[in-house]
Amino acid sequence: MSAKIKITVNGVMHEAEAGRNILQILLDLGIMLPHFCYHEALGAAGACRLCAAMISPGAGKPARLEMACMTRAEDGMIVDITNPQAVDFREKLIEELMLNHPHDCPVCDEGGECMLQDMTVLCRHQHRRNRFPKRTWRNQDLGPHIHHEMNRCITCYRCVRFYRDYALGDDLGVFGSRGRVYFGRMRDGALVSEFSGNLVDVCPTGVFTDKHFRAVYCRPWDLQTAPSICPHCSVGCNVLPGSRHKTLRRIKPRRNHTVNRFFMCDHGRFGGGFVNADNRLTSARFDGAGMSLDDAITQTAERLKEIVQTHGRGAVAAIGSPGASLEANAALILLMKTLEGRFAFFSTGAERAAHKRAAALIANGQVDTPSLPEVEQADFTLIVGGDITREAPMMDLAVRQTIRAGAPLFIISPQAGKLDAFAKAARHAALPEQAAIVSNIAQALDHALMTGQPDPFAGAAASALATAKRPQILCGATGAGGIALVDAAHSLVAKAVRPERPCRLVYWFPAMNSFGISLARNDESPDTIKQDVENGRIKALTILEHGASLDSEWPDDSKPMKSCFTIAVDAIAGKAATDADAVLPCASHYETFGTVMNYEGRAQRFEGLPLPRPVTWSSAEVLLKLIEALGAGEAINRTEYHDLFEIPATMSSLIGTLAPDSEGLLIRSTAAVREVVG
Amino acid sequence: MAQGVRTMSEIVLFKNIQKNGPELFPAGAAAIPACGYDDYVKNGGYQGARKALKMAPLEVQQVVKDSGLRGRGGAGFPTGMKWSFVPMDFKGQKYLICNCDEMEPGTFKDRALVYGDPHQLIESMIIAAYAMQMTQGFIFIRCEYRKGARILEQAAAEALNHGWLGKNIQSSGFDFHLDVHLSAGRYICGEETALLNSLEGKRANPRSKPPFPQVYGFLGSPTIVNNVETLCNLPHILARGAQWHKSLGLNGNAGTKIMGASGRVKNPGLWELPLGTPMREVLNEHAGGPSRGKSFKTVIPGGLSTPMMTPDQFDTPLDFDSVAKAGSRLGTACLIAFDEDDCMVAATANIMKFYMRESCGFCTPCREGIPWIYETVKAIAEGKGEEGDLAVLDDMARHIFHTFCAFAPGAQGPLLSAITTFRHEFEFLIQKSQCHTAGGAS
Repeated sequence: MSAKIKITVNGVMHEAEAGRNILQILLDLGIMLPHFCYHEALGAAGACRLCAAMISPGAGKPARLEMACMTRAEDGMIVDITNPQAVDFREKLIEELMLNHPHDCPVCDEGGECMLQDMTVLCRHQHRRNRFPKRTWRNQDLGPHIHHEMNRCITCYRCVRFYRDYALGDDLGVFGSRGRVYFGRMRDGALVSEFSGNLVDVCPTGVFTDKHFRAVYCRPWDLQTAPSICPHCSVGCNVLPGSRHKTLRRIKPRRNHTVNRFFMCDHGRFGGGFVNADNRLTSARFDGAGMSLDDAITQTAERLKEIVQTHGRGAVAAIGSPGASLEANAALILLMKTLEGRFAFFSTGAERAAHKRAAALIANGQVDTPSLPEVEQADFTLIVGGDITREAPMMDLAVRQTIRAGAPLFIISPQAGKLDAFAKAARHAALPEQAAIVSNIAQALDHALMTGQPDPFAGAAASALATAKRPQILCGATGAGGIALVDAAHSLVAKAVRPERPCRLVYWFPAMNSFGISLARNDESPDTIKQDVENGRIKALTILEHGASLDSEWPDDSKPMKSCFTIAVDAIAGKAATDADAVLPCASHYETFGTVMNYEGRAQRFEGLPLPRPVTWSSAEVLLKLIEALGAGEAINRTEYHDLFEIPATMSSLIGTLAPDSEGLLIRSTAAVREVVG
Repeated sequence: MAQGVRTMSEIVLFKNIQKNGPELFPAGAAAIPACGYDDYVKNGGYQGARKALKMAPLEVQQVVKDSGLRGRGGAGFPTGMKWSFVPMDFKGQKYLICNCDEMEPGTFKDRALVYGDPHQLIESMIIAAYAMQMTQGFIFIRCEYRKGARILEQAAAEALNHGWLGKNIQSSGFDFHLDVHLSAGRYICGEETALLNSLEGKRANPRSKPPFPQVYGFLGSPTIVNNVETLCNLPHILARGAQWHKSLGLNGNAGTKIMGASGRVKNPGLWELPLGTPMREVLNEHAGGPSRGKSFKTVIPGGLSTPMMTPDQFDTPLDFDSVAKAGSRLGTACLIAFDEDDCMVAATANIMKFYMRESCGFCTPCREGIPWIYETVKAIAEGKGEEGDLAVLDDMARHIFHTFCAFAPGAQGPLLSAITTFRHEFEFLIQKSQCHTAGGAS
């Protein structure tokens, strides 16, 4: 597909990739040929007829008015988008689309980022000649997220092409015919797809708008934005949060062609409420008294010093967070090093073991982990260890693309999930039993073409796996399945891999930066820390950012906690912060910068929105201040990432230079790393 | 004027259909009693299929190619050539579909064939299916032809009983299953790719071509969609040979054509005539001339979707090439006649209403442009025309051409010819707010 062809556009010769349509080539060249229904992910439909251009197959051959999106580029083609006939056709087409479109731009929430506005101006349609009544529709209540305004519809079919064809949803459809085509649900009701928010983006005008965004008046151009990473799962979708007047207003997907590309899930899009939440921590507290953050840091440092002096090594401990950046967790580890303390991540030792094994396999390049666009290319998928529709929705959307292409899907999950409907077979089993089922498939693979398997599910999965050309296994490394499941998936892949055929393996994790913290050096099992907190051996415990994302089995109301001095570094007044002796507030995820590593071991940089809050320091900065207050500031400059995490030195230095709009940095593509202790 | 009625050299397609009145035109659908199996066979039926089953499939295709048969659904594409695009080495199921979604206004020829002689169609489908080795067939029939669907189902049951359908038909080793599908009823379903979507249970939107249905059709398999009348020629071609079929037409045209007339004619009806019969003869001899003692003003030659022709063009032979040369299209050769008292603005409004109503709504020029055209023409016809309306019509008539399928260009045909040929009627109405016919002008 990388063959090059030459095509002439408006008299200038360009080189282009063969096999693509003319419109996509023009857009890639930065030439804006007006269009509506074409969308790079959804493909060409030929419905809007706007991308008309004069196209000739070659020099000396007659040019005809053709739709660029429907025309496959061939070598030598000559395209003229400025031809008067084409320009006139496009102008008339906009006139037609505007016949029924309300002139409500001043009060429309799409205004300012409306493709119909842009195209209307671009095609120079100005004067309305239609004197007949406009078509009007009754709108539907589509639930809490999406506002419906059918009168604005220009019938490009993008919404149903996304919702039904691309995301395989079935509760939004197209009704009626002729000039009465209606896009909506059978009857009012909340859209059930996990990806419904993308309707807002794919709709070229204001039919589907974001209910949360429109709740408080704002124009898109008034938003301040910062490139960020979605904090809600380990996929690491690139997002663009926008803020205005001290509040986060909305989150949109940001294009990264190796991660989420065009879309994002509703959890991520509508899950930014924690930024504006009432329970944000805004002031510091020490021993029940409110005070400035600086004072609280100073007093906390003094108390920590006392405890270390009184009780010696190992009297202080810390719990890191998979929902916090590498920087924040690194600062926490450094703090513990300064105090000769101990630290742990995760909820249980079993979870830690599973995470570390999975992360090591990925980091060392022992498994071939696909990116989301690569997940879409698979022709066999086995999902095991959880419900990706809830735990990694965008990976679910990628799997849906394989289903569209006819690839078989097998699912082993604790309970029924939404993907079951598309699976060749789905087996529901408790997590601890799943490793055995995976092993059965591996065994069945030896005699995949034999019939009469003892386990029909394993037999069917194995024979499909045996004949696939690009198989993949997606395994939840959430811990409840344990290291046994991680290993079983790896063994199955090892068996399925053939020289001519790779078998890819995804381990997805529960949180944004689970992968990053899995690489921490010298962390302890949370089980021993918990034990020592309970038996009073640990006298001070620092808890990093656990309020927002994770309510683990960690410090609860058990009495021993009361005898332990607890420090909460958090943005949210969660359970940890409420009970803590020292509360050190920090900025929330979308207000700060940092680096996180997704399920592939892809380090991605995010920036923070400049929200004017009482607390503007990130948790990493708060912890570094604490280290400085302890008089150990010089250690900060001496420490590199690879001192604290099992990452290659080469990567360590590159992390600091990562740009948020880059593809990120894959750990397996940097120098080989040392074996991670499992 | 009258050169004498051209002999209906051979009655081919209508030979089993009982005449109803002076010409074949059913006052009601029930008025044509269907020819049953026994009568059909007695009259030489199933001889063509019997012959075909003894030939090699490609030989049958060759006979059809040699016969010069062109599609009777309106486009006139050579049937043999269309068949030749089917990949004969395709391993899976191939499909033969008979397009009986006859919703073209003014056209009722397929109805006569289905209601009057269902076995002729079934025999035809056996021949076509055998020629392309298609073991599954569908008759896609318009929902208003419910009775026709029942007639076909009954005939198919008879054919099955006599070993002409099902497995191993007539011990030839060839299987052919035939199902009748009653359409939900949209004009666009007559467009072959929309028909395929409809048959698959999807919205009846046309598909993008290529791929063509011959290669990627029903359920993604090679599929041939042929019109009823096209298919009905096959038994006779097979029974009597390609040369015989060629000799039936005039001026080098092959075969007969069912021609019809409706509108301002004395005897509306259907006649099977040699392809190439002049329009004047159909209008004056067969249809009996104008019905109201006025002279004809214009004729739409082939259903509704063809440009209007004026009396100076009435000597045009009704065949695909001659009508095209005259600036229109033969289409279904079912003429719609208007006389000088007809208001062409009101007629155009009526025509546009049909296209507005029947658009599938997929692409913009058709979905948005035609309703605007309709509203504008209707306003003019009602005496509410305004300065600038004709400019809108001029723009839009030229605009509704580059659409996803041929539906909107079908609407463009009559519209463009109306606003060109009868522009004075539009202008008169806009200026005087009344029709020139009522005002005694013209």
